[in-house]
Amino acid sequence: MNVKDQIKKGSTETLILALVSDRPMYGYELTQELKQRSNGYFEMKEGLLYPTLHRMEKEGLIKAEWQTPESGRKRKYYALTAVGKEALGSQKEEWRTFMTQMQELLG
Amino acid sequence: MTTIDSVLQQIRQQLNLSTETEVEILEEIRTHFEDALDHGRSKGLSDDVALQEAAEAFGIQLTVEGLRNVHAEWESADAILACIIPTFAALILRWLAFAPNGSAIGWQNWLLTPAFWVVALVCLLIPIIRFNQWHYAMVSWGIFWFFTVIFIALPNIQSW
Repeated sequence: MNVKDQIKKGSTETLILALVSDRPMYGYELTQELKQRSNGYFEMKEGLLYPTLHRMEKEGLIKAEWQTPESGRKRKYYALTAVGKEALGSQKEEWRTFMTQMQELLG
Repeated sequence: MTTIDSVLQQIRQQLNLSTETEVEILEEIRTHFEDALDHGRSKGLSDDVALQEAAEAFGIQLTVEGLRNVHAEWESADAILACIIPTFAALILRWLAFAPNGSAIGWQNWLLTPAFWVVALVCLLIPIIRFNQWHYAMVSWGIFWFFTVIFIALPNIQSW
């Protein structure tokens, strides 16, 4: 696994928390939104997405709810919980520190 | 020809989880593939090509392994908890209902008291609410009744 993949893998949870903090989203929407917002840099491996979502749900970071919109199919939406909001705050802080330290070291 | 159902069947064969968990997972994955199929169609792809691309992007093996790990671990913990609740409730009832010498005098009246049925219902409802799985609730209730009957029958058998 190269450095880029390792960073992506390590950031999956933070990215999911950040995305669902805006509004509840379903799995496929998360992958598309991430790709779009990062101009294709973060193309989430779908095989990694669902196990991560389900683990985060079990840990209480996000909550899932089946919703059927007036027009469209029934989907499982994931929303941020209070625990998830707190985790997102500390993970953001951790990433900022990481980036600052990396920049200082790399110049 | 690849269809959503054939992909889901392939996933189901490898999941090896409880039926309720599998059904929910497969329903979620189905909508994922339906969305991916719509996306492929909008790009002008045929259904077959769109679905093949979606299956490749999905990474069936990686997803199955990941989901199995996540759910198997939690299902084991849930199963232990689902067994502890009725056992604990049956023990409390035994302590409340039996005389200190262990005799089950008047156990028939015990079955008529609302408190007994409240405890019995708690043993049924907690697993449903906590785990959202009917078979856990039924197993939990089965354990509760098993111990309750044992606790009533055993002292009577011994006294014979």
